[in-house]
Amino acid sequence: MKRRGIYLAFEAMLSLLILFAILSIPMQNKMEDLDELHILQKEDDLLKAWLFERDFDLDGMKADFEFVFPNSSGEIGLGNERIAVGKPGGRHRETYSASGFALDGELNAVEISISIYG
Amino acid sequence: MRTINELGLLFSFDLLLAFFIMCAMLYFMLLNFNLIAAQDADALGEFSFYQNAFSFADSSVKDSFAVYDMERRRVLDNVIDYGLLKKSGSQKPENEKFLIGKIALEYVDGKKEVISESGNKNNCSAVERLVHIRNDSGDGKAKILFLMCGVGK
Repeated sequence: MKRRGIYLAFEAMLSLLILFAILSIPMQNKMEDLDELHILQKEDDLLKAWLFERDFDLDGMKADFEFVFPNSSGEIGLGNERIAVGKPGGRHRETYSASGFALDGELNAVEISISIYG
Repeated sequence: MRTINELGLLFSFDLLLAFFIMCAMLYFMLLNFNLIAAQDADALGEFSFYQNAFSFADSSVKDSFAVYDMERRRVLDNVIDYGLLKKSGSQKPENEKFLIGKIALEYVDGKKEVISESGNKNNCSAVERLVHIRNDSGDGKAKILFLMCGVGK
C-alpha cells in the first residue's frame, strides 16, 4: 500500500465529508409561533373567570372549558378532585398547565388547575 | 525539453480538485448564510406582527376596554365594559403596523355579535380571549375575537 495514495484518499475523503456537512446544514429554520402563549393566556382567562364568579361547580367549569377550547382535551382540578374534559384524544405530546388559589366559604385556600393536552 | 511527470499530474489534479471543493464549499456557505439571513428577517417580521397582535389583545382585555371599579379604584382584568367596546368599534384604532380587521363577541349561549369590521382582510392573525362582558343587564361570559391585519402587505 502506497503511503502517498493513503494521504490523497484521506484528504479527498475529508474534503467530501466537509462538503456534505455544509450541505446538510438545515436550510429551514423552525418557525417560532405564539400558540403556546395563546393557550396559556386562555387558561389564565378561565381561571380569572372562575375566580371572578366564585362559583366552583365542576359541571359549569367543564362547560366553560369546552366553550373556550372546543377542539381540545384536558383536565380540571378543584382541590383534590380532578375531572377529564373535552374530546378524548390520542397520544399527548405536550401539556400546558395553569393553576391558581381561591378562598372558599370557610376561607380555606382551594387550588384550581387546568391542563390542556397538546 | 520538459517531460510530464505522472506523479506531478496527479498532484496537480488533486490540487485542482481540492481547490474546486473549497470554492464550492465557500459558495454554499455564503448561499446558506444568505438564505438563513433572509428567512430570519421574514420570521422576525412575522413574529413581531404576532407579538403586536397578542399585546393589543392583552392590553384590550386588561386595560383599554376593562371596567373601572370605582370602589376598589382599579380596573378589573378581563371584565369588559360593553359601552366602551361599542364606542371603540366606531373609532377603528389603527397604526402603521396593523389595523383591527374585526372585533367580535361570542356568548356562552351561542349568540354572536360583530362589534367592528373593516374591509381589508390581508395577512390577518386572530387572537381569542375569554372575558366577562358587563352591560346594563349584568355580566355574561363571552369569547372576544380580535382579528389583526397587516398594513400595506
